[in-house]
Amino acid sequence: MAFVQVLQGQFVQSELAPEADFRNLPEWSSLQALVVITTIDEAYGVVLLEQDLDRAKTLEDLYQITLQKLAAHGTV
Amino acid sequence: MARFNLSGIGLRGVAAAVPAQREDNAALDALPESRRQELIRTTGIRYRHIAREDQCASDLCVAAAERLLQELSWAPDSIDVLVMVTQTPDHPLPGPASHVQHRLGLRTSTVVLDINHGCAGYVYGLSVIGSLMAASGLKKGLLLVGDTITRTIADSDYSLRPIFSDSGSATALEWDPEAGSMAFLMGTSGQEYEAIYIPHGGARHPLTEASLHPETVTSSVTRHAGQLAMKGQDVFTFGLTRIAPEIKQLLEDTGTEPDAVDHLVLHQANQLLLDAIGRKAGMRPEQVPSSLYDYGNTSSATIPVTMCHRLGTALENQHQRLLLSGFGVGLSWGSVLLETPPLACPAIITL
Repeated sequence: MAFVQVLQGQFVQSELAPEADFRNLPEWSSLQALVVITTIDEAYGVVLLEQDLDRAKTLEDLYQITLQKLAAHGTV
Repeated sequence: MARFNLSGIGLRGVAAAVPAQREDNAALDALPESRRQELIRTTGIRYRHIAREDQCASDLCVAAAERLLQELSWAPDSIDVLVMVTQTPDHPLPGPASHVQHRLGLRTSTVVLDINHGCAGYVYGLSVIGSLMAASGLKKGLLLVGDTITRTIADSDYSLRPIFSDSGSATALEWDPEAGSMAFLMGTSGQEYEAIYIPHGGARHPLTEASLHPETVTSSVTRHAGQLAMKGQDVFTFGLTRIAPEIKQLLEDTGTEPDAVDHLVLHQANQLLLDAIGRKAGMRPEQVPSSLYDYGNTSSATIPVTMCHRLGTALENQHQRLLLSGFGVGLSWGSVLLETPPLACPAIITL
């Protein structure tokens, strides 16, 4: 899945999948959250906020939120 | 929007000073090795300079100013205006600028002013001293900008300790009818003032014994109410979404192509932001210098520190078109597009 591929480069230990519970990945930290946000922003032109991440459990969730924001706002 | 031009003021030099004592993020024992590496990788920050107990922002700024006056062969009594920007004054009052006037040997007839401002403070400071000089015909000015911000941060706050660093800087300006114009674009969102703040120790909440009780905020952050608190995620989002549009607005307004700018000197918050803002503003990575690895986030002084650390040779030898952009505490932001003639730009002083 393209979204997962985009993020894979930022996770050296884990093999990412859409159903990945990202908060429980070994690489996860508050800094890694910023890396994910900027990576998604660069690829999709959408900036996820803290409340967006709070609503998500899996990478699939993050992808859906990204698509929603893209549809609503276009690129930032 | 706060968009204005100043003409007839030329930059003549920039100097910076940092305390010699240095902390290495690779040696932060309280964090596991993997976290230290991740920190360095994502923030871009390796070394931070920490002022000794007897060193204040005023000391660092004075050292930078003395060096600059020497380089320019400007007599201290030729300075007509002194503006100092800091959030870490020697004393709660008076502001540090008056004592600095005395320490530098400036005339008592110098116009002396303190400004309390942070990460956007260099640009705000420049707009104030530039405006004073342009409106009045005062000939020579010194803008001092610096902070001992590490002193406001808890050792046990691992969200902020690995980021911040201390520094002082001096910028010399001269009234010059031939100088091109400086184009400013500023903004403030006071609604978000709690995003970066120290809750206690001012008039609203004087410092009491209760203020100093450490509070565990997260597993890696323990601090008390007299210490700096930052909503990291919110501030990051602010930087990521609201600064590049300002830069683009300024470029568009002045009819400037991104390629026509020699360097975009951003406030040095972290490398992720530098990369993202530069990219969104249409700049190539080579146009966006970083001093994060060696100097971290020196609060108000990151722009002059970056100019001295990365652009010294270019600034000394060539005319440069620079876009400076600071953002942070307030929340506030300020960008300026300006051109510099060859400047005095000595290597960073270590004290």
